[in-house]
Amino acid sequence: MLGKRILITDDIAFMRMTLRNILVKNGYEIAGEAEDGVQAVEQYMIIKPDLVTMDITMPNMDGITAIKKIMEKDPDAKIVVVSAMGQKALVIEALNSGAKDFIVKPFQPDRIVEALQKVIG
Amino acid sequence: MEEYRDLFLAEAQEYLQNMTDCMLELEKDPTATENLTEMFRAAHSLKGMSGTMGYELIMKLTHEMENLLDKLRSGEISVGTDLVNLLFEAVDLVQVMINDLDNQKNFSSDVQALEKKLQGWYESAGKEESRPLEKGIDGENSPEDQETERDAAAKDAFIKAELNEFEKEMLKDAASRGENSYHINVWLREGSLLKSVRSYMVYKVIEKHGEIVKTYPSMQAMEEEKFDRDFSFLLLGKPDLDINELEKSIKGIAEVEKVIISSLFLEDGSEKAAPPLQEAQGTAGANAREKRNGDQGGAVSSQVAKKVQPSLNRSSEKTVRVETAKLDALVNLVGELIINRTRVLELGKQFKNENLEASLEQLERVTTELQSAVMTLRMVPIKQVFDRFPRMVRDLSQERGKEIELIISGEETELDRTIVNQIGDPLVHLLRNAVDHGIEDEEERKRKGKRPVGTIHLEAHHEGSHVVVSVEDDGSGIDPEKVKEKAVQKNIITREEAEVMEADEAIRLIFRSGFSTSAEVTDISGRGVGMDVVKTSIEALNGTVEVKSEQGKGSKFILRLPLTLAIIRTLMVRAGEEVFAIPIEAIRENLFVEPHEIRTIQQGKVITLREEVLPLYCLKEELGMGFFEEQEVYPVVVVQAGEKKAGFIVDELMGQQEVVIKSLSSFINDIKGVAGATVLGDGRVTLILDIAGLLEDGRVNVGKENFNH
Repeated sequence: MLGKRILITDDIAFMRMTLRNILVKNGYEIAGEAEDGVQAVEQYMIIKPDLVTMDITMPNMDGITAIKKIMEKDPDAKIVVVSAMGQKALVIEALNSGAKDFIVKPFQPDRIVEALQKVIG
Repeated sequence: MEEYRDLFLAEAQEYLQNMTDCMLELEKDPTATENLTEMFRAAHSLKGMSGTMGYELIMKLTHEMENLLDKLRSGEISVGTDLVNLLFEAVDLVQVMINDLDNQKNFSSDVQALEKKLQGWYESAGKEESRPLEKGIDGENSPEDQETERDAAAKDAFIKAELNEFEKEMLKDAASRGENSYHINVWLREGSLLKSVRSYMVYKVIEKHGEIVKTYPSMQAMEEEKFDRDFSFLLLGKPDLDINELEKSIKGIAEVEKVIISSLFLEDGSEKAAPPLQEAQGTAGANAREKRNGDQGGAVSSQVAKKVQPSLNRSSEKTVRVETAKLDALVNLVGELIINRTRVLELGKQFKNENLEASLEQLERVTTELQSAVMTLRMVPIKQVFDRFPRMVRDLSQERGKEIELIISGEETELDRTIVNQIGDPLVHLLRNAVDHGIEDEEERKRKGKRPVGTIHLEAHHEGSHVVVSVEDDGSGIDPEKVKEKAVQKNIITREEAEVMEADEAIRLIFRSGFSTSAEVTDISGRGVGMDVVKTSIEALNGTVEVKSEQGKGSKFILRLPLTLAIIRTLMVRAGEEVFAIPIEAIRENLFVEPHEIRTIQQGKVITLREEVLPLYCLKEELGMGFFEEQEVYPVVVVQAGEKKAGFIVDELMGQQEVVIKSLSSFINDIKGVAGATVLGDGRVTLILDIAGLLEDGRVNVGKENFNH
């Protein structure tokens, strides 16, 4: 699992930073950070990360649309949805759109690592 | 977590500001629902952030706000002033809590009270129940306790009861086709969030391997998270079902802790440990699922459609956050670099080497560019200050029972961070004055034939190396006669002076200390702190204040501020052995004065310059560095700070130079008359004079007025 490359997508810099720190501490490599769905799709095609974390509510393009676009371009894409509480319906929508799993804010590092390990080993 | 706090604070601030802006717009135009979406997004983000930081109270409050906003957004509740006030109350409390992250003051009762209010609002308006915070965060969710009890009983029945005939048949049929039945029990980790979605993911995985005949708890209950950590499925497996494979893929879902799969063997229509099928059947389960997907699909797409458009307006800019301390350090270093460059350039001249000169020239160009690039880093849009005013003016006007529209323009105008930080209070004062004393009541405005709604324009723009900020109201204007009367009462001027005073000069009296025009002292702009404070604070920034007023039409206050405080243009002068820098801003002109032009009045020297009598000081003497010496001609620098003008006799005018201001260390920074220090090209340290300070100093405190006839 050493150095699996992750693309973090979240419009809130604070959230990106929190997640980045958790991932880096656990041996992941941050291949890129996107602030909205548009950037996520663009960056995905360029850096081809092993896994994408995807926030749902974002400006310009929301996470669900981004998941659909990425899955369209790469059906093998591994995307983990980052959700806040109370977004049940959206998480399900995201899973139906091709996301592999989801993690919940507020972040609990061990749970995030577990989720990622389960998705990309 | 502590290391994230600054970022949290900065972003939280942005979201609160966003909410405030949107609420103000929404109040103006309740149909502008894109604002609701924006506010909802802000509340949602704040909730997530504060949750991550462990600020539970903020999270709880923003959660309630989010609920309320959700109802507003869906149109179940309509927007009104009361509601906006309530939301503002919530925004304020969040702000207070964010400001008080350190002190740990206990806000739980405040939050609870407000939570109730917010809940009360949407519960009374909407028929639906509120969305309580998910369990695990908010540990005490009492309404669900009953459910758990009922579920426990149901679970008991699950194990004991038998399958009904129809289901037994189904399982038997399946068995005869070579399909095995399995009981799959799944446990989630302790404290797992969004359990319903987890169970849904498990459902989806199992579904691929056969037909799900029955779930425990029911699909409905799973969706409503009416289970603790475990749930189970009764599966009619496909003939080629690989149990290990199934187990592996279920365990591949995050937060799944344990999976137990057991085969069911039907013997004569009875089985062991098989779950009962009370109401649901395979098909019913599938229906429920379809229905669920359908509902959500619809809800999601409409939400998304609403969301995408408006958020474009305030989408995050392409910026990086940098600590201001780092920025200051950078500016300081560049300052040092510039100083050293000047020294190197001077040394370089001595060698008369062409190559050296060429590279020094290059160095000079690059460093100059670097300097200007770094200076722009210090620049921030004045928006940062302006942002809080719409809310303030709204609250004030509501309090005063006046209707006032605040129009802001030029908020993107940039100026030095230090200045932006310091013009807030003066502007607050000017705006309060405009609301309080400028704009009339509605009655009075109607009587005067004015629009009943008062207008205040807050504007900023660049003008050369200055930024001009103006506050203009269309109120009653300033009555010069009233001002004079007041000034006489307060012993600021004599009655004789008042009689000959011009109108605009009279209006400027409001800047004198101890002056206040309002007949009654209001709790808003009264309290005896007057315009003189505004003037002093603007002048402390090397700026000026001007006022224009037309009776009956309104007043306009114009602030003129320098773009930056870090580098200033100065005139270098010599007094005795020392060189001093005088900021160009303060200099009106330079003269050469002959001895016969100097007269003595009240033991002070004066000169007459274009019919204006100016006090004349010897800089050397004033700074205690020597004595006035008779000469054939005296170089004089005429300076002005506010309305005070004076001439300073110096020994030599040495020319203009841009200098980087270095602040003096704390134990000497209170010296009046000295604004800071700078280092010259030859390495000498030079003091920068603070003209306003000098002229205010006791010894040099002989202003223009005393000499006016």
